[in-house]
Amino acid sequence: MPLKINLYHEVLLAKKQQQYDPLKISLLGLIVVAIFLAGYYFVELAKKRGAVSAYQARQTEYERLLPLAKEAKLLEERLNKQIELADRLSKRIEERFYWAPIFEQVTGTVPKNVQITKLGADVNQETPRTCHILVDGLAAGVEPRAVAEDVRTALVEKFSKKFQNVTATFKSLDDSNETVVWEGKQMRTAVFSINIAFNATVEQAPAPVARQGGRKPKS
Amino acid sequence: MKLNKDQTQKIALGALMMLGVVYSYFDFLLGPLQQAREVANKNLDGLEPQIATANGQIASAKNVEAKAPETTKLLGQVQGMIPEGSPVAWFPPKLSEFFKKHGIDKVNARVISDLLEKDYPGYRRVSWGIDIPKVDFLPFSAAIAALENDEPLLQIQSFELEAGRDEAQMQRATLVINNLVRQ
Repeated sequence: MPLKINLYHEVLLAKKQQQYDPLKISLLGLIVVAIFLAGYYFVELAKKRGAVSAYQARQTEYERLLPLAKEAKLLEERLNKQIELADRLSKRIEERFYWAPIFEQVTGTVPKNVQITKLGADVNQETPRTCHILVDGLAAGVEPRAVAEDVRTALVEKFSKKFQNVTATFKSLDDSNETVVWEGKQMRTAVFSINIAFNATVEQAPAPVARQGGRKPKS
Repeated sequence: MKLNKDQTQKIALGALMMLGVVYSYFDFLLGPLQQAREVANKNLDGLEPQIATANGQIASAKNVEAKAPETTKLLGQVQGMIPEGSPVAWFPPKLSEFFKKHGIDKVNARVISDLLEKDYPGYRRVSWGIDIPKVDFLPFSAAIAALENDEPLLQIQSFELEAGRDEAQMQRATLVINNLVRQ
């Protein structure tokens, strides 16, 4: 068996030691970790810049909108007040109580043998609006009290057609000493005073009902 | 492979430095960065509802503004119905003129009350006591009907018609009228 002597073993060992130098390996490892950390830092930096720029863009948008919104709020408040006022005015105008129809109803109800001596009325402005009418008069006839009663019931009937909760009561009904000539006959008279009260609130017209089975729109 | 003492010391020192660098990296570099991002995101989240509210406010005002021409027209019409100046100066002559047109000559008007209308900003309500000493019922009724139709801002609150003692055909009329006038 031939004898082999390695005369370079020291050189080879030194080479091997240099190749696997732990310091060198650690340094390489550190460089790799440093590159990774630096990369991660830049990724995070980009994310932060993105978030900040998005916030700044929205902040600029908000700063642009804020004065507009304040102005819009003031405008809206002012317009709402105007709209409210206009609504109230039109409601006041539309819901006025008209007296002319009352005159018409009273004159249409009173027969020729009754004379109205006093007619007074008032309406309160609160809701529910109540109207009070006072009718004083002189009824002539064979039975003047019955004539006065007919007037009272006729007034209730007439007003009930248009208003709700109509009541008519005699405040007074007295026979009078005076007599009148009616259609050539001497008639007895009675003095009466009738109080009429009713709910004079104007009712809103119901909303129109949608037609069933109307014409289909052309497509 | 066996490390000598010098190498072991170098590695230990390196490891310590590495730990310091990593700590500094996370604490001084990455930490503030993430904190700033979180703050920006949080602020952004807080800003979004405010922007939505502002946009909503602007849209709402635009909606209301779309209805405004109708309102302005109505208010203009109402203003146009009320003459300039003190109501005491223009209302009694206007009323006298009106009744004269309907054949009623003598009309007296006096102020009963003059109140601010809190439901109608910019307006006040003047109550008038109207006295018509001599009037026939039918022309009076016609005049009242015309008055109610021609003057929408006017409301007759009460009236009294009493038969005259001297002339049975003629009555005395008293009215209380509420009128809306400029403040």
